[in-house]
Amino acid sequence: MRTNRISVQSALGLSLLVLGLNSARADLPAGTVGQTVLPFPPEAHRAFIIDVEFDSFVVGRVTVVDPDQKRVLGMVPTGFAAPSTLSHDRKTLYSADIWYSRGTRGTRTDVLTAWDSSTLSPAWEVPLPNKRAESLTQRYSLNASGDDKFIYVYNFTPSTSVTVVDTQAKAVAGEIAIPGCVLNYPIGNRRFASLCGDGSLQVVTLNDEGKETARSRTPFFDPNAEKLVERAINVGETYYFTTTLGTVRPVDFSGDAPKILPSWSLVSDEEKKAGWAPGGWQLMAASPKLDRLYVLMHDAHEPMKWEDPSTLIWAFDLKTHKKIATLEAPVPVWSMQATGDDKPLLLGVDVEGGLQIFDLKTNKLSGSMPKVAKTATQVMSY
Amino acid sequence: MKLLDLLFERSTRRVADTTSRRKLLSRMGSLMVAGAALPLLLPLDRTSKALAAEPAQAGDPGDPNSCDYWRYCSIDGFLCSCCGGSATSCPPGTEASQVSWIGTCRNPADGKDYIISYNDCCGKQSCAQCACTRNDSEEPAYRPFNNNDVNWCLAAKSHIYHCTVSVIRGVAI
Repeated sequence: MRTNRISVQSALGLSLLVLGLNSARADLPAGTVGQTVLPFPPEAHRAFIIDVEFDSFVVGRVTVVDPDQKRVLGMVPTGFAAPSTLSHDRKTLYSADIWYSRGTRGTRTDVLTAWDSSTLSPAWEVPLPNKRAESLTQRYSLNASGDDKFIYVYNFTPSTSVTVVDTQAKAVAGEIAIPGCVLNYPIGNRRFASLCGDGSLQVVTLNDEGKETARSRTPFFDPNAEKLVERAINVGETYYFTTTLGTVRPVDFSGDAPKILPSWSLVSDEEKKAGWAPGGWQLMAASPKLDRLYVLMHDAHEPMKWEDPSTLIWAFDLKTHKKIATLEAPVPVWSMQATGDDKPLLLGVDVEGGLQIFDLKTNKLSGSMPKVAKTATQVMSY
Repeated sequence: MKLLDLLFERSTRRVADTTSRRKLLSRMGSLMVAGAALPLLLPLDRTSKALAAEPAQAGDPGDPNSCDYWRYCSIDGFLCSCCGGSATSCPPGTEASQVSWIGTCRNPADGKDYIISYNDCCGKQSCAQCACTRNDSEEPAYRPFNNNDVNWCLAAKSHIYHCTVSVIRGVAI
């Protein structure tokens, strides 16, 4: 009885307390479901993580993040191993998707999807020939011309070609065969280059209808003497390639013909002896405002390590070619991107699905976004 | 699964020989220059015959369920032997692609370098078992037939990637 009385008194007291609290506050208003739209223009550091989701590898995604706030802003669902690219006017994200009508089987549909960068919804689409290259996504498989009029889609069947899509007509303008060559490195408004198996660079010039008007070949490197990593990085119309042993081979595409610039080395003789060499997927990034190149580096190099991730990132001055800093990530990074603004960040996707964020003014890690992706192959930014 | 585990599972042994591999790759490079369509004519279209079950043989040492197995020296993907198939046979209900990439691996039993085709088995999503990436004789994308970053389900009805088999095509000269 005594126990019961105490319980009753306690319960009564608690009820009064709750009633008292309730009476002190107004009820929350009933809500409605909102719809988030991202601001335009986008913040300078907005980043887009391409995730092929290799452990299922049927559909992928582009996760949109704010690396300053370390927030996910939204997501774009993409097709099988879909490359993506950003328009220069920042209004559109393009993905070149492959879909099967029964998920893993059935009728194949290749389609270029144009996503509104604020609503992250499809704005329009153009069916593509069923030829789009299928690989781990890379930077030079889908690109916009400098004026955003054309999108270049790399095809591999394994014959190689580039589908040119007119974004104003919202239609395929044509297909340009690039036999013996791979990928499309955009140049200005009406050109793209490709890297060829004989070690040359091919440049195709288009007219305003997206039709080929000229084609040239320029000897570039000796493929029997060295391996040149195809995943270059550009500052304006100068592209920086590296060999697997760290010889940088820059090309200036701003003139009528490609100008092969003098090569230089990422490693000193001593560093080379210790086996320092570049490695990774998008293993190079460049900050145009700082005029610096960032390269993922590892020691004790062996040939099979050319795509290996690393915790170490070396920073180089692009004028002097001197190494000026070493950045260190807590988790091995596989692909990088530097933002194009004057307070740049270096963004690196790591092998645990995280994003490592460096302030390039200080070359210090400013934070991480762990587990933001599954199998991230690239980061894109403005 | 961590990407590190997924993409960078590695062998502890290195069995490929660089010198003879170079010779082979040089020849492949010459073929590529002639045109991207030409390598389609390479004798890589014997997959269906090769995929008949192969009994264990003396002179073929190692565990086909292990990334260390000598034939896997240039593989990048999931081992079909862990997915219901074998080192040379696609799992039930998946289709072997007749077009593939190739590598050269040294057999530790006889010291010979063998040309290995890495045929992808296709039409179902990733098996996601026994990920193995070795890249021993991998070349950049401008030599696509020595590149394993490409999805080689190109000649299957559905190009969705499931796993990879490793088939001996001959002795490298």
